[in-house]
Amino acid sequence: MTARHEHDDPPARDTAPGADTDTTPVDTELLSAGLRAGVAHVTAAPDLYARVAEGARARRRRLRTGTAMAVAAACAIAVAGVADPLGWRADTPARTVAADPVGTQGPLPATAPMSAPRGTAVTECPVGHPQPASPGVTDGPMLPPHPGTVLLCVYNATHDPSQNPVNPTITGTVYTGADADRIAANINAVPTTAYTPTGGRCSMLAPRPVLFFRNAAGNEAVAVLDGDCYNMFTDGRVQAQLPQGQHGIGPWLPS
Amino acid sequence: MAAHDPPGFQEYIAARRDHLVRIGVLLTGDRHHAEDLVQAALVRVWPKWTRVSRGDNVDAYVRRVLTSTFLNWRRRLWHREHPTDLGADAGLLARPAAGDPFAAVDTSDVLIAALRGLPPRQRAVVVLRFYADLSEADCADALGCGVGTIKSQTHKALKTLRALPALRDAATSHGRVEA
Repeated sequence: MTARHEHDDPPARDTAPGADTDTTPVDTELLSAGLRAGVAHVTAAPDLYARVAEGARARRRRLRTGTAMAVAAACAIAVAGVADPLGWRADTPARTVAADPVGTQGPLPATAPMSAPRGTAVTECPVGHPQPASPGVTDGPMLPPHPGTVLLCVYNATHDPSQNPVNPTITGTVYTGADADRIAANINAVPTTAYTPTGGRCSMLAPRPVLFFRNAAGNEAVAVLDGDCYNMFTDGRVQAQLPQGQHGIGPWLPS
Repeated sequence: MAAHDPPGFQEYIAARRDHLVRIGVLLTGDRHHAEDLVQAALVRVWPKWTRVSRGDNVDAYVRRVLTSTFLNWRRRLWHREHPTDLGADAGLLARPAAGDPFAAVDTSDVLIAALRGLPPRQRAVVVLRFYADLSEADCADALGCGVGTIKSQTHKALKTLRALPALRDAATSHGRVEA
């Protein structure tokens, strides 16, 4: 190590400390002596290095997390800006999509395929959505008043999901324009609850309707349109906010 | 030492920790804040240590980080200090009689209290110039400013300190007539 310690080898002053000021050597000598005497008894804590090491590791973790989030945000902004700079696509005609039955024996994919062929709106049913969406949505309306496009997916398991990972058939319906506005009004009219892993779970054996929506600003929400299901299906396939106090698919959808 | 710890850093801290904490005490006026300040500064040095340790003056770099950390802290509202009445201690600075081992401590108590009344940058200049014995150029390098700024800050700081009755008495007792 090439560290030079000034107390071991004090550097020569280019000028006397007080030479360029209207003070005298007596003043500065007194000042230096007083400062040194005042802290002569001070010693550092012996665990300083351990605390510095811990702080450095924590700082490195924060920087890594921050960098990853910044990159993810930049990518999201770039994709949103190119694909749909004004937010929701409102001109998509209503259509029905059907996903193939998915054989997911074993662990679910870490990220759900929520890619959309048009803009940023979700128009294809995800195989799974293991992360809760919009955790702060309980502070306000779950949906924008004019969401543009919302997607209803119905998951229907073929056997008991409590015993084995389910292989649901998944069908999806895209609602746009006035139909989407009506769904948003219905959903926003009731209190919602954020996803909680301690909430009840629901079998996928019966058809389970789930609503997905996402816009260019990155707002995203998932709603299970069945009060019995609470937040999550038994296999963790979908974790969602729940409009409470309603049961069944009827109250939410346009007739 | 853990596998990813920079080589030589632990030894540097072991050798210099007392000196750094003493500077921290003079800057912050508080032992606990000083420990936190030094820790925060060394955490910032940590990732650059390998490159810094190859240089010819590690202390200069660490001092620069320490003072910039201190000045950044001072900009935070929650960290503002509220100096108490410095004049109340003025009588303690009577020039010590020869051989009185306690008088210097009394003097330093008043000095440290007076330091807290200085603006942060002036305080840093006083500490670096008169405690760490830095030249004006080194002081300017540590604070990231020009030598002229160091001169003016030193002048203002000493003028403020000299205006304190305790320090004025001490100077007079040395035969110097206050300007």
